[in-house]
Amino acid sequence: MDQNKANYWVTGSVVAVVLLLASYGVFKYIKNDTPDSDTIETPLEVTTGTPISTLKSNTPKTTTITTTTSTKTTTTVPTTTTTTTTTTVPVNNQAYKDGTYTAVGNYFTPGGEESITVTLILKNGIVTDSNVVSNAIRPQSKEFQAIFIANYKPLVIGKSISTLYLDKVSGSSLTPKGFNDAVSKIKVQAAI
Amino acid sequence: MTKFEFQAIGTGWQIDIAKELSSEEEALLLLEIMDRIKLFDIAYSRFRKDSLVTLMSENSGEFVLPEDANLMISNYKKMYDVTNGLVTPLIGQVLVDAGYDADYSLIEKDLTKPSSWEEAIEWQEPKLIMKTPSLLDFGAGGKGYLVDIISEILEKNKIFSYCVDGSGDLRQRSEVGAILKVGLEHPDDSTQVVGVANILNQSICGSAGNRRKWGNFHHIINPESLTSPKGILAIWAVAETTFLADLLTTALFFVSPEILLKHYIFEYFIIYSDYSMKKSVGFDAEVFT
Repeated sequence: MDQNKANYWVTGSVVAVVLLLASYGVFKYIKNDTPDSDTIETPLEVTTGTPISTLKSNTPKTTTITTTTSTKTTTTVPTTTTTTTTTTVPVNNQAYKDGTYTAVGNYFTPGGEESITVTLILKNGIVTDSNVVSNAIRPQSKEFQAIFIANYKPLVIGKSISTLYLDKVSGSSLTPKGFNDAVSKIKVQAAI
Repeated sequence: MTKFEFQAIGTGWQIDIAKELSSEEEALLLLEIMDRIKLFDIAYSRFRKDSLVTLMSENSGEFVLPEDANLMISNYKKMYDVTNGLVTPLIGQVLVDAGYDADYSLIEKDLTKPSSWEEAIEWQEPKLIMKTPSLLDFGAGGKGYLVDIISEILEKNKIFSYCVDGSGDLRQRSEVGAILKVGLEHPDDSTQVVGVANILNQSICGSAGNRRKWGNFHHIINPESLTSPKGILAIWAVAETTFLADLLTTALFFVSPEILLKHYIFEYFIIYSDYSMKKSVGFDAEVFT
């Protein structure tokens, strides 16, 4: 049981790094890193930044971005990007175009290279759905990726209340005014 | 559509009634509700110096409790037994010593394990026998029970489509099958929700350690370990009554849903501290993942 848990965490961490780098690659790609061209339907390779020297050998090094050729949206991904926008950090949700994006994350295990394919559906700057496909070759990698795929989805994420139609909100409940006041006082005291 | 909003037992309340009431009916109904809340508060609030609970914390002996006490005490006793004493009204002094006292000092003193139910109290309807003076705390289910009591007042007044909301612990009834969309507050950010639950002729209660939190504690303290449970960020329970849903949100901090499901009918949704979640099949909600 504990062993499984440990395995899960190891896999979880490894794949989380893969996903992070993959997402970064996707966003970087969407943003501006590709020239204007009509050759989008061919696979593109994007190197996701400089490798961090402290990372161990089984961490991902590069991410290959493949656009989905089936959807129309992908053909318009690298629209007119100007040099003025390239210097800004893409914090604005509008910066990401709606569409389906697929990335293959490669990483090195003690047994050799493995990869995992991540597909994200982006709508209005929000990931509305995601899918992960295992490409693992080695039995242990297969097992780890299967554990990850079985478990990665149920991690909750928040959505802004203002964007949803709600009758009520339920949460920490019974937050007495006095308690909040006391906490505020403590914060003031702590600040002095 | 009639709406009442007021403050009571230290928190905000909202009552929505589907049908139109005359202003006289409204006034009388509100008066009846407010009077009933006062009775509840004066009996069970450990935050009031003049409450029965405060009196019992200072004196042993027999105390005649109000009519609503039988349901309150017997449900607490059942939950006490099911959770092996982890959900207990005898937690009062522990909460006070941890700093969650009437003045909200939030200053921690040395904690002492509470007495067992058998050592401290005995229920002989309508009397509660205090074998030793003990500070009782009905925070785990009291508010939910009050939601039910208010709902019963509405039903007695022939109001059968309503929502009684005690700051997120709520009971909804609808004669026409109108679903209530209840946002599930993000445990780290009250401007966000992690999902939307559909409530119809049920009660939902939530509990999270995010707001009533100080030092090493939040509002739930394990009477055995004298620490606040850390592995869970938020819990929601859906049940037929608000009292049960409320008690279950505390119980789920200590005991697995599987054990509780042997004794109670309910649905649940739990967010663990790694943001993973566990949701019962019948918990009707869209959860954002």
